[in-house]
Amino acid sequence: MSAAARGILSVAEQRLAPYRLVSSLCYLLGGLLAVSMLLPLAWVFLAALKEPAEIMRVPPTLLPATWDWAAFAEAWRRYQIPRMAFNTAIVYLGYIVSRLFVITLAAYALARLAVPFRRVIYMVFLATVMLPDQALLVPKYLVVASLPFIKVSLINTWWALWLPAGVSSFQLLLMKGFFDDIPRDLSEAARIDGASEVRTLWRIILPNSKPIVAVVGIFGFFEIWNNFFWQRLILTAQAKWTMAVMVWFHTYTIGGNPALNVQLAGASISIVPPLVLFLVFQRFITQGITMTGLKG
Amino acid sequence: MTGARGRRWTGAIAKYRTGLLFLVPAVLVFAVFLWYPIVENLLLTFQSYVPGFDKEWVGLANLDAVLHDPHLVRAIVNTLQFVGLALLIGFAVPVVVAIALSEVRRGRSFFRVAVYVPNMLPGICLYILWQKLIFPPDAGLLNQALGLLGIPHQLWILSPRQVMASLVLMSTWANFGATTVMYMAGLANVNPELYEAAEMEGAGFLQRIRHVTLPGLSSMLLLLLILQLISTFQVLQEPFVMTSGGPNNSSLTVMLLVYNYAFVDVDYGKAGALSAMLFVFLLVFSCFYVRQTGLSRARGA
Repeated sequence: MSAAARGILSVAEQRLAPYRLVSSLCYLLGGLLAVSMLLPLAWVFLAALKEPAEIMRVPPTLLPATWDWAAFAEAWRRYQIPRMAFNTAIVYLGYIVSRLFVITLAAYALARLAVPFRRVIYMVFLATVMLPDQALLVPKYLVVASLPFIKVSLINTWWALWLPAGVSSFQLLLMKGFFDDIPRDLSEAARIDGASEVRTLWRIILPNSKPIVAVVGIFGFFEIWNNFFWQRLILTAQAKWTMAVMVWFHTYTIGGNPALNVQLAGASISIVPPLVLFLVFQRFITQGITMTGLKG
Repeated sequence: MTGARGRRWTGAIAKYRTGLLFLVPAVLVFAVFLWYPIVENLLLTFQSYVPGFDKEWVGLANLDAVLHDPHLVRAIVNTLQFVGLALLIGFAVPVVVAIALSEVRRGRSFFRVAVYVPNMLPGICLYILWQKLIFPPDAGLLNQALGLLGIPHQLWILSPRQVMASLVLMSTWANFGATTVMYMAGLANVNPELYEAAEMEGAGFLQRIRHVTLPGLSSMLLLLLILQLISTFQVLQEPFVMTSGGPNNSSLTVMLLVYNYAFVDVDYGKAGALSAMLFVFLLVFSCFYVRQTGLSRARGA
């Protein structure tokens, strides 16, 4: 207990004068950070409830003079929230399903099945872990605009977001590592009973891999949530847009441009789903970061 | 003879069938959306491509055009500025915060959640928040807060001299929480007996950080350093959305120049040439990391 309970400073030291200062500085820093992280977020919601003139007032007001929900109603209509929520949900679900499908099968093959040149295949995936992928924006766009050999264009389709979802060698290898650690006896027993590999994977391996599936799923979600750029590039027709593209359109193009409080209301609405998801899965997410060593 | 070979083949196919089948989707998507684009990018460097027409070989013309573009130097300088400032600010902040928060006994998980929350913001909302509520020179939160300390108002992203630093400030605010959480996990793995021993030998707080804490984090520090370099060299989304490279090209980055070549000038050859150069340059960092850490040996097959 005594050894594990200490940090850099021991519990006894924290009470000594010079270290009490260090310790209180740590609290102070934590408190300041918490305010500077949470206040701006609250500010978006509060500003959306203010009159446009009040948002720009100097000195700023913390609470709105009149709580005016009209901007939210206006944003709900203008941003076509129900439609966008539907599109976004479909796009994100498809993305996660596509990723899990591709990497689960491959990870299982590399972990458990007979594969020729396993080491070579493994190294090929490993070699792509740290590739600078943003730099490939243009050739990726050209590929999506005209798929090799079949010459089909995926521009303005959700397939352009779904199909590349499986390209994540890091998560593939992470999953393989997890499968490696599942006791072989479990799957051997199933195999002796004559279960097919698909069945073994579905019935034995996956139920034992819930943490890693959750991590891959959640991180897939945050990846696509943040990858606004690709969505804007690919989805040209408004009917196909996701929430992020809609929010961008209304603030950053001449076509949109409603009053500032409406823009902020639109942004506020689109913050709610990830925020709720974060608070619900908070434990998984912090564990996942630790596990993957990747940023969300 | 043929019969034996045939049997061996059928034997091999039967043995490997399921395994290969399971690998097909991954190989397919990697080939189409990663490996092929890499090759395509290198080829584009030496081609002229107009959609709908055949590609033409143009030798070094694209590279020549890119290297003689007066914007290139500007873009490189701006990008280096972003990378450098992100190293100074963005790389140090999470280490310091993680150490400080690890020393906090009560409410640590609250602080951890609080610093992580901005990571949840969809990118586009982050830009709106900062552009409309934090950066504005008069009513913006940043100048208001600095005003309390008696610091005069700054122009932030409206000023050619401050724009890159402002973007770094914003992305640090948004991203450092995830890194902090990782470092905190790393810190929890440092053996407390080492601190005990350091205390016995009379090492102070800072000495313990220097001789115990930082060495304990070293492999994580190296990994995150390389990842951060690779990602900051490719900065695109922030200047694209918030400043379109302005004011007066002072936030034009290399990737934004690539974007402009491809999607404004519709000159895919030039875009390919510049992004291929960036890609190869960043590949050096990845290779360095893999060599340093023996990533391949450590993970094993």
